[in-house]
Amino acid sequence: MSAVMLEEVKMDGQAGQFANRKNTFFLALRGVAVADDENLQDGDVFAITEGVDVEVGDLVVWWTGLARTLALARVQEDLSFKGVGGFPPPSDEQPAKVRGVVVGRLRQFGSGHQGA
Amino acid sequence: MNISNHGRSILHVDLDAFFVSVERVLDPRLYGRPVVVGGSPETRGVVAAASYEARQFGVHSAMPMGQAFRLCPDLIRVGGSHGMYSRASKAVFELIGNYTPLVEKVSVDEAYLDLSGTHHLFGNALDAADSMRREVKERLRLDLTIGISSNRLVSKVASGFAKPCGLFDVRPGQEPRFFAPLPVKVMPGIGPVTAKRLRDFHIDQLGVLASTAGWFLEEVFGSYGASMQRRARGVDETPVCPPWERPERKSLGHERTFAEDLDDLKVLRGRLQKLLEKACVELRAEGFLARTLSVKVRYADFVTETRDFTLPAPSDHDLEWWEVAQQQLDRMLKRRTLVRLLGVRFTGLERGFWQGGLFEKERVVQRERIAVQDKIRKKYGEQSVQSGDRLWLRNSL
Repeated sequence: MSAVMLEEVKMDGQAGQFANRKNTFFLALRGVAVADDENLQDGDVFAITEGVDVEVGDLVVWWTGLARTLALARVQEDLSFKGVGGFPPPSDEQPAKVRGVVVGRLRQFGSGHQGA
Repeated sequence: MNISNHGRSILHVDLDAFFVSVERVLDPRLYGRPVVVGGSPETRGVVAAASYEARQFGVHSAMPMGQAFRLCPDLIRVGGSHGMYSRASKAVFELIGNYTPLVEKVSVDEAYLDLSGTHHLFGNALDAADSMRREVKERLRLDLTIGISSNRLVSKVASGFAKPCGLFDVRPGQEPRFFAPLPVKVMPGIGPVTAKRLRDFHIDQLGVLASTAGWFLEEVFGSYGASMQRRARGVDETPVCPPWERPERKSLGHERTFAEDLDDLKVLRGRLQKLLEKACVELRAEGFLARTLSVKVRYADFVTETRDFTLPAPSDHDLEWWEVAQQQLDRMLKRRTLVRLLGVRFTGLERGFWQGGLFEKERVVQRERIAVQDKIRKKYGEQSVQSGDRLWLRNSL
């Protein structure tokens, strides 16, 4: 697998209200992503909805059935998947299933007076 | 290319615990401690802003200060400096104004920005927001929270998700899915009463509201039902209105609830004059003349009285309006009850500047004096110039 990975996280506060249904959850990105137009960053948290139709342009989470194989890809015009941020696209040998669609991304920063 | 670059990119920008953050920049010892800005508990003060540390004790804005101290005995209260907050806000808006001219300032610490079409300059909206946040943090040491989406409504909810000090970007086309699991009360426009009514019908999430039959919602909530349903689907076409596109103001005024109820006519006149001068300064700053002045008095028993007076020609002149205001106040104060609140409000606004008659030399001199006063007040604050009648008020209360 790549140097980046996704792991499920629980969110507090108002954001946590998004994951109060069975088909919604959060995944956090761990590791240094490859620079591309999605500009993924270590610590980015993705809000995911599962069990919905996938459309062209959607950012999706796919897997092969094991938590360690969760990966992000974008759905292209020909409905194929393009890996983003260093995640590989699914291969023919690995039957992939869409786990959910990314509806939003949270990027949080430490507050304080020590700088940005 | 990311498809998010093709549609509208609307940002809702919110300065985190703004008043408290400005106080912390001025006094770094306040970092990490429960801090509130507001009036003293001895003078019926209320909390104007609370730090996140104070909020953990249940302290929130608009709460009586005495109650806040009971909830958090270690609370640090700062009186606050609205002149300073205003300057800090101006500095923030100058910085974010470099990203787009389409900025709609909602309050001193909140705004909507339309970044549509700026992709080639700043990258996608998330990158631009990130850069904006860093710039404000590095240059002003203040934290921004930003919600990003294709419309104002969704961005506003998204910024609530990102607090404190974060960004939340809702991907284009995903607005209904983002809203679906959320409780109905998070949507702006649904207050506690409507939320309870919706819950009575087992409509507790926005997704349920979005899929409820339209005729049913119209039957229960009237025309608001249809609009509420559209919004529950994450649809909002309201444009971001910069100042030059905003509808003209219809009125302008100020009111003040006193720390202690008053009965001294001289003090009340002084207070009224202060409110009137403040409103006249704003009239002139915004280039308005007013035709009608309303003076409002609320007594200690909460009985409220209002009197209107219309001038033959509109004016923005303190002295002209002061004569009227004084007469109105004298006529109103007939009850033998203490006064709790005074207010002034100008209506019948029209664009223009008071000039006086061409040959009225005295008035021309007054006009020039007022212009100089306004400049000094703008530079050094409202208290820098005061009329003689008001000066003694400083020591009287």
